[in-house]
Amino acid sequence: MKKIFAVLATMLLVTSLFVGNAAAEKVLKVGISKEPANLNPVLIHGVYGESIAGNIFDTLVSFKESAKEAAPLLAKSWTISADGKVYTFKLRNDVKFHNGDAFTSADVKYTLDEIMNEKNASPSAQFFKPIQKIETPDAQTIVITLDAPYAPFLLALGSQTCGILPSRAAAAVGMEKFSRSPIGTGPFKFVEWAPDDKIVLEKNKDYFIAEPKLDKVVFRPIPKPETMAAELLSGGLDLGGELLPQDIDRMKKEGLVVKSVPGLTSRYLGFNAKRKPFSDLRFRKAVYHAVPFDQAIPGIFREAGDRAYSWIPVGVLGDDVDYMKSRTLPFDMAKAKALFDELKKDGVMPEKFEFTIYSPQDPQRKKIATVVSTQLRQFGITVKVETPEWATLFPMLKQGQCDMYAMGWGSVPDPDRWTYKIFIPDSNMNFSQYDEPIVTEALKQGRSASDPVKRSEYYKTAMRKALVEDFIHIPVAFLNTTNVMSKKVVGFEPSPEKYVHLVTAKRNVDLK
Amino acid sequence: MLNYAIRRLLLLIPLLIFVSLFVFAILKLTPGDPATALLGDQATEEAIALARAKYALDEPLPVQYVHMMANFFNGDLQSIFHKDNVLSVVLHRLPATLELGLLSLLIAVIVSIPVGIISAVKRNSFFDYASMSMAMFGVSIPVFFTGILLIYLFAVILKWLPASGYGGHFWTIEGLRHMILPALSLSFVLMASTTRLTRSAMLEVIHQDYIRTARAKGVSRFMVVMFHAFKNALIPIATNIGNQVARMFAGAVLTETVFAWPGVGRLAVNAIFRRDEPLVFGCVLLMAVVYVVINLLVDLLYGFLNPQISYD
Amino acid sequence: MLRFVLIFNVVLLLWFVGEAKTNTDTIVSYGIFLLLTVLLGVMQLVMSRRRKQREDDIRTAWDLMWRKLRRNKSAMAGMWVVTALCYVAILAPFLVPVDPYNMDWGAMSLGPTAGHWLGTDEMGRDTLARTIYATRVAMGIGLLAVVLNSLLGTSLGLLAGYYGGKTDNIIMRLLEFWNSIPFILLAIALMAALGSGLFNLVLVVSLTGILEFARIIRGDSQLLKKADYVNAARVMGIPNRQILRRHILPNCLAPIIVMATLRIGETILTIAGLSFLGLGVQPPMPSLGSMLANGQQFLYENIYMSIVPGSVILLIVLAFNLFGDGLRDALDSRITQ
Repeated sequence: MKKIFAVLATMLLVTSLFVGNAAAEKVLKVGISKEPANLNPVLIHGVYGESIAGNIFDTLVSFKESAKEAAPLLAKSWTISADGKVYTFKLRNDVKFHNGDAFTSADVKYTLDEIMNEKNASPSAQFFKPIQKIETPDAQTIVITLDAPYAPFLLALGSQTCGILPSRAAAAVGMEKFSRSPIGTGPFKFVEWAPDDKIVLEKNKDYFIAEPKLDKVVFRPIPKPETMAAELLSGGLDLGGELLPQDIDRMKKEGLVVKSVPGLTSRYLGFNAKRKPFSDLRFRKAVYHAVPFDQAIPGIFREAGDRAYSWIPVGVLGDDVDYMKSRTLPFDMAKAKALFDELKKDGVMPEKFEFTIYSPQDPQRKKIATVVSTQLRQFGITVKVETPEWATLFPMLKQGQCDMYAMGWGSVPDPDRWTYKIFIPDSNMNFSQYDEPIVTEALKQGRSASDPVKRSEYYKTAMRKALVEDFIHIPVAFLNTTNVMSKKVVGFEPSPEKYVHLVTAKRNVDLK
Repeated sequence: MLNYAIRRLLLLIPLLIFVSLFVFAILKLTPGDPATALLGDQATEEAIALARAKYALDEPLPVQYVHMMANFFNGDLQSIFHKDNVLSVVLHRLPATLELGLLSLLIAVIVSIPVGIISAVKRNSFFDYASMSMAMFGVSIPVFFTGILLIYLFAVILKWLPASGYGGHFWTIEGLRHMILPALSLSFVLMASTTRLTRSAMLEVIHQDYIRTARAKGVSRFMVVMFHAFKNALIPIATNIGNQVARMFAGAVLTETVFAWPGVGRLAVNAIFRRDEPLVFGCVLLMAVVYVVINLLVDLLYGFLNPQISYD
Repeated sequence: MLRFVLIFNVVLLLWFVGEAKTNTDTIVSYGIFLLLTVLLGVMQLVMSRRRKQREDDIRTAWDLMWRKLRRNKSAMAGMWVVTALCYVAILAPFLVPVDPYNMDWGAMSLGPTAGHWLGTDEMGRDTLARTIYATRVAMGIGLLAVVLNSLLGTSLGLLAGYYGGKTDNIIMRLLEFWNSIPFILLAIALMAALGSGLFNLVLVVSLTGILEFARIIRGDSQLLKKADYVNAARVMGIPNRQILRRHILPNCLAPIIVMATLRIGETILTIAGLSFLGLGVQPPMPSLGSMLANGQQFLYENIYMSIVPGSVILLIVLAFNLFGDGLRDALDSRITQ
């Protein structure tokens, strides 16, 4: 058997010698941890689809380089009326879709109509609800009128889920078929999608910002982060992300380039506000006291994330970090014990209490839940950790069936996107079934206010009430976006949203 | 023989009914529905209701079942996730799965049958002990762990082979390079069981009278082993291989996950996770058919291996 | 030899009596161990009494098998390892150096040190303690699943073989249909449908491989059915149920035990595989499969996190396989020495 292995090994060696680098083409191989379900912006949900669609499609305005300020892209310029209700965009006239069709205001109107068309069940439709009417006075102008002022509207237009579709081509094949063979105006053209294997894009030579320096981009879904690490180390991938925290350090040592930015992804622990004893403030505080978050969070996330104190990420309007930080509860077993004893005495919590923490299957969230479970064992509380797959877990969460859960969130840098759906009583993302009029009111105000200072106050009010008075959630961490790339990759910067933007006004990624 | 084959194939009808009912029941028992899985975390209730209507998920269960069965036989089953015909989705993956299966089968057979024969002939020798303990090890290590170890050794440390993914058909160099590691890791289990089986089957045959007679008549040892003994030991070996190959079609899920291999097993598992009901339904039914057909082929092969077997 | 085991057990019982009261975990363990020791004692008594009553030259089939087994070194090694593992599994709470759940954020992902003989995992939990508990979980789940599995397989095989005809046809066809669904898919789908509890895991794993079980038992019972004493029993008007229980089942026992022994290893590997897909034993309960699945993510940083659970899996599976193989050889009359 050994001999055969030796023969096999030499055979491998020989074959590997014959494989030269025949390709003069510049092909960037990117690893993604999950395959997107759709590439049609109208249907996309989730960062993986958005990330790839961002290279095929363009939006009216762009947040690709700076998440804070809208930059022109397909729209040359725009004006917003004084009452914040009418948006007028002037469009570029030199843009063509990959199939040769010219880009006009009709395409913009078509795209927005399709997003709002209920039949498409577009996941981003909610962000366009305030639209009252869309007019196209000429081929290069589009006027959008809202019912009421809506501060995050530009952000919605700049999201990758609002990439502009070619009206004629898309209408001809229908939304679903279009999702499997997308056509946009972006820097890369769609070539091939082999499910679970790869998605291939090639450069759009006529891209209106600049000709992409890369000839081809291959996105490969790799389900296991340890395999992704091995691929990066062996040179099978040029660019990857979402590695395990313990692998990042090693990548640096092995001579790969590691770039990291504070990200827009959070992890948190939530309590059910409707079920006993989780609905009791004392219980939530006791759990907070019982877990050494200050030690556990760096232990679990290492360099991949930092402790969170609020829902609103650091640097986003209304983040209020200092105040929130000063009000967190310290690790204190004695206080936790006192609170639990009190709860038992009052009959809120039974003597031998048992419950389940739910978490998705990613290793870090599972670990957060494990830490809580382990700590609470010391108070005689038996806590099971269950990690059902997403399609099972999500309906449970939505229906408020989870007593306690470790979850996450990820969005664009606007406080509304980070709070509204989570804390509003009738929202399906309010897994805690939290219902607090003060918070609801503040969040509704924050949505329509356009003055940043006032807006920021509303969000501070809401977060202070929900998080450091009611302790309905325990913010755990904000994850950094860390990309690992080979030294050959030039000009790539990670984005907080985990997007892989390859060509923008300021960058044009290349391979040496 | 033809009669036998036809009778066996006729059994496919109750099989399909049984398997389809069972799969359908599991699918409907499983919490969560495709609409939610498809639309993601941000979807509103109305959007989910619309999607449910679109995929006919709000019909009564018997109607849904009949629809699915009818669609399956017409070849009209549509995958919700892939937005494509289930048959074409599966056929698309077939090359990657079949090639991987064949290559690992090839590795396993090339290694294990000679080793098994030698072990049997030289029973209780050092070679016998060594190969049997290797075989024992082969079945005792979880397959995902061997996969990871192979990746680390050959891709990360030695940098001889790519770590994961499908590189094309195995007759191309790139394709073969990609396929060696997953095929190797997949072949370990098959290798181990085939070696042990070959050895025990050979042992059983070697002690029989006709072998002794042949030896006594002066037939050389090699000839006896190869043409008298091995030929008769082939039946259990063929059964085992047939069984394993049929299993490999879907059982390679772990290997496929480790090596990011776009095979049928992962397709089916992802379909379960995504609640892509038509795809799960179609996949499992197709796999059941493949299993039956492969087993039938193996049974028919017996006829060639041993003319004494008659099919009645 | 049984006597030595008995003495050893009593020594252990006395040794641990002081620690037995600390918590429910230890009390339960102690109780189970006590019960087993008592059972062993009773067995010893019965056997020695029988031996006295019997003339020395007469050997039962079991005696013959045991003698053959004793000559098989690897099988004996397997048996000793299995025995040792059983001790570890039952006495886990007394053997662990520290609480396997205890996290120490100051001692994360360590190699072997004086305080942690086999190092710690990424949350500072002692690998040795966790492995001991995980062995207990693995053995427990493995045994339970295999018992369920054998019960199902045996009863179906007996029915099919004994009654024959239509019953046989229906049972065997249904089992073949069942077998045609790829197991790992079935397991994933069932876990998705039923949820990921420990009981469901046992159930799912025990549903596999019934066909092989049933086939062998069916063959045996078909042969036994034609035996004279069974015919005689039938003529005497003894009901089928009793014939099955009194005459056929006891004679199928040997192959059942062999198959069950060989199945345990497979079961443990299957659970490890499910753990890799996130569907195995749920945290914080330590399990070998999840430890290995987790450890291989730290392969570079701390190799002990995968080596230790990996070797224990190897040991368990190997021991059961060797023992099972030996049993099979010992029962097989054709292979004689």
